[in-house]
Amino acid sequence: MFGSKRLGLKLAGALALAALFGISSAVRGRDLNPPLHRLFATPERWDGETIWLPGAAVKAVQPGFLQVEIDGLRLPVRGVLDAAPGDVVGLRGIFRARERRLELLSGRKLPPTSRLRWLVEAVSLTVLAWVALNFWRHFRGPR
Amino acid sequence: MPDLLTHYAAARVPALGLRDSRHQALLVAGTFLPDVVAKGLYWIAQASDRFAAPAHSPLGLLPLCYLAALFLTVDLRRTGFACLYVGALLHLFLDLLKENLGIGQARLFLPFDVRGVELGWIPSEDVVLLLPLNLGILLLVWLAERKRRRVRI
Repeated sequence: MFGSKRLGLKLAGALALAALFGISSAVRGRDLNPPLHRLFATPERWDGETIWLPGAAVKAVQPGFLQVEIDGLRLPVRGVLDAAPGDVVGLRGIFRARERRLELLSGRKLPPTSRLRWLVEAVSLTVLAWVALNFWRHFRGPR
Repeated sequence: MPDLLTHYAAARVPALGLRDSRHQALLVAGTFLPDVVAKGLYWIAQASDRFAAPAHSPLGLLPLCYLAALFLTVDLRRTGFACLYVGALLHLFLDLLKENLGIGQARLFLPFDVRGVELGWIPSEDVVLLLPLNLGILLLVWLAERKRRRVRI
């Protein structure tokens, strides 16, 4: 299994299996967490579905109700969330097609640290470069 | 994902138990594999994140680790595969701890169930706060390695 006999076939087989997993996941996961524009295009299809909005800007807040915006699309949300206009929130709720709104299941205001995402990405890239260098040091061929 | 520094710090601890530095390097590489594959497919190949999801599943990682192991020298392939896979599973475990309102990044049951799973212990935005902890772990690992080198001499 780990020998070099028929190496090309083994490589192709592993690649094909990985691709099959990817295709299966892409096809079967098509309807998971649809973006807002898909909800608005065919609302009846998503009626009663649980929807996840990872980063929505709060535009208005009223008692028991708020309005959020993602990519220029606004969605009313029924529920109580400790947020003010201008905050960014993560939400999970049930979509109601007739009212075109979300019934809040859970949600939270994203903390100020979420704005430091660029720092996390920068640190991650630095670490990746460091590890790649270390990996090369361990596995470089004869000089 | 937690940031790669968190994954790196978490992988360096079990890697301490490995004597061969090549095995250590492979375990650390394995812990990066899920994100390198997923982000590579997403950002470079412009594939959908659903297509890249098997890179965060135990079964989906098997062919990926096997594929990577085949690029090693023959004597290292078997243990290399094990190190890569253990590192990748460690990555999934850390991703499980994150909280994303119930929508986890780890797809434990792919290809049977495409939904993500999470334990939800650490809000995903708070990984920034783990920076000092990660640096502390890496310092301890570095000290332990230095002490071990001295003992060998």
